[in-house]
Amino acid sequence: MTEAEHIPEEIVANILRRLPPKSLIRCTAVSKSWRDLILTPSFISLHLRHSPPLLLLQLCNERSHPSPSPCAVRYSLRHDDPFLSDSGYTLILPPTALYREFSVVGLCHGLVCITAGHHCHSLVICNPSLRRYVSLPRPRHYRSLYTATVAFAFDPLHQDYKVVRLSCMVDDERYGFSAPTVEVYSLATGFWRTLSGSTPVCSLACVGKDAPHGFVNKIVHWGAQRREGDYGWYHFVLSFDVVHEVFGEVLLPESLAYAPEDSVTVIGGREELSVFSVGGEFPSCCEIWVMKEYGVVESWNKVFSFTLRGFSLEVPAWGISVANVTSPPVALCIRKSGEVLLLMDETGKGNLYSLDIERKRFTELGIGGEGYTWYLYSGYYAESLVLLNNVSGLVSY
Amino acid sequence: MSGISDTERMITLKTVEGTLFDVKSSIAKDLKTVQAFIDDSDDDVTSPIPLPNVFTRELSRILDYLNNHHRFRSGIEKADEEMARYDAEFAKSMSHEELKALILAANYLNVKDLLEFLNQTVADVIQNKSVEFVRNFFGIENDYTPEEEEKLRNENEWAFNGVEQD
Repeated sequence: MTEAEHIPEEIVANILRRLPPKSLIRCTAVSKSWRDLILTPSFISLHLRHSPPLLLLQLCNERSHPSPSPCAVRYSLRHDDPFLSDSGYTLILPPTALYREFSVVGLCHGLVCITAGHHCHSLVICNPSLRRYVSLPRPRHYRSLYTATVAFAFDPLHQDYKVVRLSCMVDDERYGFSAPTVEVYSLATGFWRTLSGSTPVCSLACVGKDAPHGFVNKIVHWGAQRREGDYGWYHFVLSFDVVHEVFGEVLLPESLAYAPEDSVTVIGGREELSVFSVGGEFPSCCEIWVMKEYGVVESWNKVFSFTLRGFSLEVPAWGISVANVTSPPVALCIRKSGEVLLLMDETGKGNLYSLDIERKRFTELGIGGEGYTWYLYSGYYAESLVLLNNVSGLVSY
Repeated sequence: MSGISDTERMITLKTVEGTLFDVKSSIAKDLKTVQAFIDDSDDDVTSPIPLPNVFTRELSRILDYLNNHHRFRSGIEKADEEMARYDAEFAKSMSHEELKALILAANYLNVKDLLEFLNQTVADVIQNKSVEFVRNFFGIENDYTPEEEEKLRNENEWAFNGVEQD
């Protein structure tokens, strides 16, 4: 082939960015210049940008026959179409993850952060499409009863992937009166660091065993609360800037901040800060609020509400009701389309619904499970070549 | 309903072999390189525009693609299905050499949509093929030593399994 007949590198990149990682690994064997092209950060970014995202759903069912057995996490990766059709794609996870019950606690740029067992103590970061992983060293373990939650994020300033772990004591007088212990793991250094700066006094708002979080402006946000007086609670949103490693507080609207019985959790997936509040008892009321202008308390908008009256979930404004709902729904995440994914408990069966506030549609997806179904982290996964060019500390499997 | 072709200007293109093609100006707009030439000219372009890098076979195919896509887009029902069928046939009708030649021509003429389609076609062809197949397709010399290549393959053994027969 003459020089003039060679396909220019720009076009080669345009062709290759359409290929899955497995094919691209083979392509690195074509020639050294192809390997160099594929390993450049700009090609890896280009590839990631075009990699089709799939929604990860994790549901944990309590198997009640013959006797309650440990919760098994079932996960599926779904196309982001109206009924969340199953893509059939499976994540090939490192063998260490298979020894115990594992769950995904974070997704970022095609990397998956997994924890096995409790307390986010045994953590792994892997890229399933490259079959590379790293086991994180153990973070701190506390003798008293505590909950721990993690968030997994990319720090663009330091070009580093980080895991931030918050631990709250729950079995003693410190509950609600002390600040969580915070540790940050950096993939670049391979170590955990305990943050000694000021962390606000609070405990995190949990759903089941986990504290849901969401990213806004690349900052992690959790629903949080602290004691007010002897018996009251004050609710707010705790923020953590992964780049500068500082905490902040975002005020909630008054009706949510001072409602003592409520739980206010963050719903992730949308660029605007969104929260889900559940309050009151018989009937209980669930609300979705969105902060239209970040940091401006007056810009909070209540965009949706429904009531749980008896065992019937009602949306008065639309004249919709769902029967046999035994407990308030759980908000999993906000889809790229803007629809809110809700997990409902319909007499012992978990069922997923997609709420389209704009088009006033409440669609039953027919996805769920037998027995009581727990919420677990949900987010978008896309195949990527991230960490292909960073070999240190990573193990192939 | 046929207002357009009456008032449309025609542009003439000349290939390497000297063949002349009359092209509607609405089609010529998709050949961004040609359009830039027209835009840059002070007077109306009346003489044939020479395309020194483009052969008759390629230009003919490109115009065929553009003419058909314009037809599909002009609002016929079920155009999507027909267009998909046309695209599939179009891709299948070419050998690998012809596909590559067409990519180079489409790149030179800057025909964006066609280039995206051709690039996707090539990606589909090579996705599950062996390293040797890909080298042959692109006409690339292997500059790895046997030891280097062996090492690379061993490090990612799983990726080299399940490859289609050429």
